[in-house]
Amino acid sequence: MTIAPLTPPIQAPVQAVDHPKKGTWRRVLIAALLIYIFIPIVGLLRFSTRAANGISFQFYRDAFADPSFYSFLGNSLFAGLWTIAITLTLTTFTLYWAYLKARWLLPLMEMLSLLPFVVPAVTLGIGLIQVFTTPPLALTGTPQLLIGAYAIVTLPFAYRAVENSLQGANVLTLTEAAESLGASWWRIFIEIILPCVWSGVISGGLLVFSFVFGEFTLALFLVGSSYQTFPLYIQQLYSYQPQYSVVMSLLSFVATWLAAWLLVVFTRRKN
Amino acid sequence: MSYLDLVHLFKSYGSVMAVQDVNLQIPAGEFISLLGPSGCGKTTILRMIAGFEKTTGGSILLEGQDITHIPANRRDMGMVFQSYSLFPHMTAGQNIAFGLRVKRLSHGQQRIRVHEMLELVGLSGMGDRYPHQMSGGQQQRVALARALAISPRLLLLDEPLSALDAKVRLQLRNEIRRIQQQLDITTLFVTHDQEEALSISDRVIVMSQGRIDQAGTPEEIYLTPSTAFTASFIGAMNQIPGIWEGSQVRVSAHPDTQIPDEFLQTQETDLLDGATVLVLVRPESITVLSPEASVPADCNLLSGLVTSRIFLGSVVRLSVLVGEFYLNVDVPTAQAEQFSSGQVVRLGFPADQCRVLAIAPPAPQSASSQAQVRSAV
Repeated sequence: MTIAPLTPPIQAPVQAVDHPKKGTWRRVLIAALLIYIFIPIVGLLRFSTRAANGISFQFYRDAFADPSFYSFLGNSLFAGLWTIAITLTLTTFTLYWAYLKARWLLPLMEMLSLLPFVVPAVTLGIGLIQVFTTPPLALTGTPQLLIGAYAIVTLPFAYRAVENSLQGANVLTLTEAAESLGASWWRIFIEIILPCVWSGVISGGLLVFSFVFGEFTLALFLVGSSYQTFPLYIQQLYSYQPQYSVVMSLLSFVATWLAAWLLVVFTRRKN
Repeated sequence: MSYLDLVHLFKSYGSVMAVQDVNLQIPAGEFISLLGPSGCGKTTILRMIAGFEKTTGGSILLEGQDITHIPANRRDMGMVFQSYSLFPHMTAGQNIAFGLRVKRLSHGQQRIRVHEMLELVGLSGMGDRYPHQMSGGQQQRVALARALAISPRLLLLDEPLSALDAKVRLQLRNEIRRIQQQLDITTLFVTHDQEEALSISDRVIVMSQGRIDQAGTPEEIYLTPSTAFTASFIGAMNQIPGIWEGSQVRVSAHPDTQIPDEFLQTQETDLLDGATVLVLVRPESITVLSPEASVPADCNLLSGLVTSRIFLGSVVRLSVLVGEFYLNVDVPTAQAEQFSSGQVVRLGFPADQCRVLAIAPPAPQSASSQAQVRSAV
């Protein structure tokens, strides 16, 4: 009589084997995506370096020599950095407070944080102009209004990034542990909580910066010519110096990619 | 005066009462365990003492000072959490030094104290490691060192061993007791593990439904439980229901059987006739007697049917159906072979191993029985 084993025989672990066809399709899709992304850029690069006698970087040299380039770039950087500061401060403090004291608020906050996605930029721009044209809040045309609007529309980026970090940080127990050691709320936030969610804060900041650096519609509506940002400058150049405009667009791409690359680096470090 | 006083402490969450009228006095240097099942209010009491929860009523006095409304960061208490809660971006040494930095100790003093604490918890030379480079047991040692580094007035341990594996848990349990005795620090230890509580405490507070069910030394709690809850929660106490008659307990046989009621002897004397009682006897106090064995005069005897057996290592636990109830009986593993399910066995247990709890007073006499008494008179 044979006795059946009590445990099933050990089987070799199943390894994920790529089907050859699946691998080919993957490569084709990636190639198509890269072509889709790079063909316009290559086109822009060719257009901006075309010269009668081959390739010339004259437009790049001229663009960098133009003082207004630095002024517009400075405006965009100023708006971007202030937006980062406002959005991240608001998001990090509020989320930390909610995690400690009012977790029941989190679903509502999540819903509110997504609202900027459903309001079109044109609608938001017109609405803000309506409210901020007459005294005592006559802010139309000022960078303050633009930064305020950016702080609203970039909320979802910052919220998601910071919230993900807080979720994994067990902030309540860390706060209580630090409190029992005598630390004040402010000290706990700066020395314990912020370092724990730092990667999320950086990721959020980079996303916010990428958005602000390329944003056109709100800038056109809210500040127009009184506070020209980098995208407005590109649009202005396009009408009479298209090659310069293309140079600026490429620079804008580079800045955004740099931000995206930093984002990947910080996210990897976090993981 | 005691070191820590909890006076009529209450805590409610909406309509749910988590802690109800808890009064407790803890002398300095004592190791107290708050023991109970989940939701009994033990952690809530600890958190109120730490200052993480506001009290709904009552007060907390530490060395005579009312600390009920003092913020947590000014109470000077060291707390160790179940989830270690080390600061992940700091090394073990930096974690331990955090409280010292808050207290503005000089760098030199911090360094000396960190070194002392690492040595105390057996982690010398590991101060530069980050929490993620340490095992669970090591992390909890660092958490203990961090809590002790500030020389707290009270050490609060919130189920610090629950997340550890059995071997490390046992080792760290003994370490905690050694350190507590070495530093002579008043300690409150929350646990749901009775073995943990009984093995390292000076006193155990058994909690149930937000109230203190019984407080006493581990021996008192184990050997002389004063409530049915403590009796059932600590160990696997058998509870035999019966009626107090004369100086004995009448245990009803199953109504479907022809077996007459049994009478159990105990050492209790001060009970009212007719009171409903529970006779408490531990599984290890019951012996399975051979059919020919003689029974001493002070030994209770019951017969029953073995219904199941569970191997527990050094003993096998038999479940024996006696009348309307089951008794757990621990038999040494070497002798357990002879018992099997379906077998009728004789159980003996000495009267002095039985404890009697009155759970209801005698039922009031009916009108007819009172009339009979009057006519007889």
